[in-house]
Amino acid sequence: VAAHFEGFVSSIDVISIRMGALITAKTSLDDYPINGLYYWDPVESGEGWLAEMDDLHNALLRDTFRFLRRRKKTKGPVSEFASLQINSELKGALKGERFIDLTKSATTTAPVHILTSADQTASNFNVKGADLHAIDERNDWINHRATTTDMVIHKTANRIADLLEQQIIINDSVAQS
Amino acid sequence: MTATLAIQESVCTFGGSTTLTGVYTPANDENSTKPCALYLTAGLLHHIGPTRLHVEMARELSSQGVAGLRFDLSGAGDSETGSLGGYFVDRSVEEVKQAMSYLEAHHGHKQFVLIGLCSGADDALATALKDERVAGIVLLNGYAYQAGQFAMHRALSFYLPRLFMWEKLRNRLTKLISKETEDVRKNRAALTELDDDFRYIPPQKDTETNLHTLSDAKTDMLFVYTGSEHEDYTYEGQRLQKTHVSERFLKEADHTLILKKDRIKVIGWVSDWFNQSLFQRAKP
Repeated sequence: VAAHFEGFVSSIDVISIRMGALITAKTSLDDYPINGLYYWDPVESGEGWLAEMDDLHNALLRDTFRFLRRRKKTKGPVSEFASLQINSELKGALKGERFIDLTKSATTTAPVHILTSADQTASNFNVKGADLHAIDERNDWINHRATTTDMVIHKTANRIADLLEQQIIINDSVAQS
Repeated sequence: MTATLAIQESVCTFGGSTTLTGVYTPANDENSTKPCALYLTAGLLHHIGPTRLHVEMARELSSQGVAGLRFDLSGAGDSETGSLGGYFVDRSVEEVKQAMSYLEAHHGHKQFVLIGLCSGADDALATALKDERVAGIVLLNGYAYQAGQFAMHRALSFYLPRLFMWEKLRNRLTKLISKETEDVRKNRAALTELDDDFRYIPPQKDTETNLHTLSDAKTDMLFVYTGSEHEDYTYEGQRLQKTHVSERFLKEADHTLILKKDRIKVIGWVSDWFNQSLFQRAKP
């Protein structure tokens, strides 16, 4: 958006992953020249994501038992989730958000693409007007023992690149006609 | 300790045939003469560092007059993939030298402190041996060897308490009784192989020689170890080489300092070390 205001770009494609997708869906983009929205493995709800992050953080703490004693969670108004720190106000705001509701109520006219695993597409992300893309690789975002090999996500990245390219061709043909 | 971001950080690109990317944090005091800190890529993690360690440390040190650059080695984060080939460590040394040259040319820094965790620590040590501009190194979970009174401390602080912890005993007994399946054995073997492949630990004698070389060159060194390294490091003072070397041990912490309070402690130690060190090597 800053690049647009600085005059570097004339249009914007938004690619957002996980919680970024929820934040994008929540953001009003009507005033910006959006080409397309690409949601990669979006979290279904803020509450679910907080629970996942809590589980991840607990798993990390449990892991410290290997050295001797298990570490304890820090208490206070700011929660720590695997290095992220979130205050109670933000936590409260996130809890009430659901991706599908936000996407349904969005007013943007730009094409929307949702890329997620096959078992999720139909059941959880059936949004009118959105293109659903089943992806057969899924990063294990919440496994605290995930290794580099668990994070091979190039097929999805390539799929998004293909979609962007197709959109450019469509835009060019519209501009020429 | 909470550093307020009152300084203007900037993104920079530099390097030779491969474009490297980093974020420069100036010192809050523009007349500061302290060496500039370079935060080196840890494993495949990008320039923010594990659990944002580099960001938090750079901003805290900046508030105490230490400028810093956190950047990505080629193939990590925002930097391009390198085409130099050869060994990882050789390429890393070359790229860290490029980062120092950039800082010298564009920000006027003459002395540097290299800060790295795990493989970043290995790269910091290797670069310090090859470039005199390195006045100090901070090695977080750098090379460790079972030296000194390691065995005694291992027995006292690791095995002995376990004898009185029911959960530990139960886990141990369960492991002894249950037969390891073929899948579990294969997974364990694959992980060990991956680990061996990822990080080369030189013989203790070579590391000692290298540390003596750096010590003779008046390079200040800070070693920080966490409890995760218990198989090779068990007590503060285990490093036998002492001249120009400071050593700290955070027994309860994990390898990448996942908890904020651990990071605060380590950043505090690094900050104190910066204030106490003379940085005589390559002093202009």
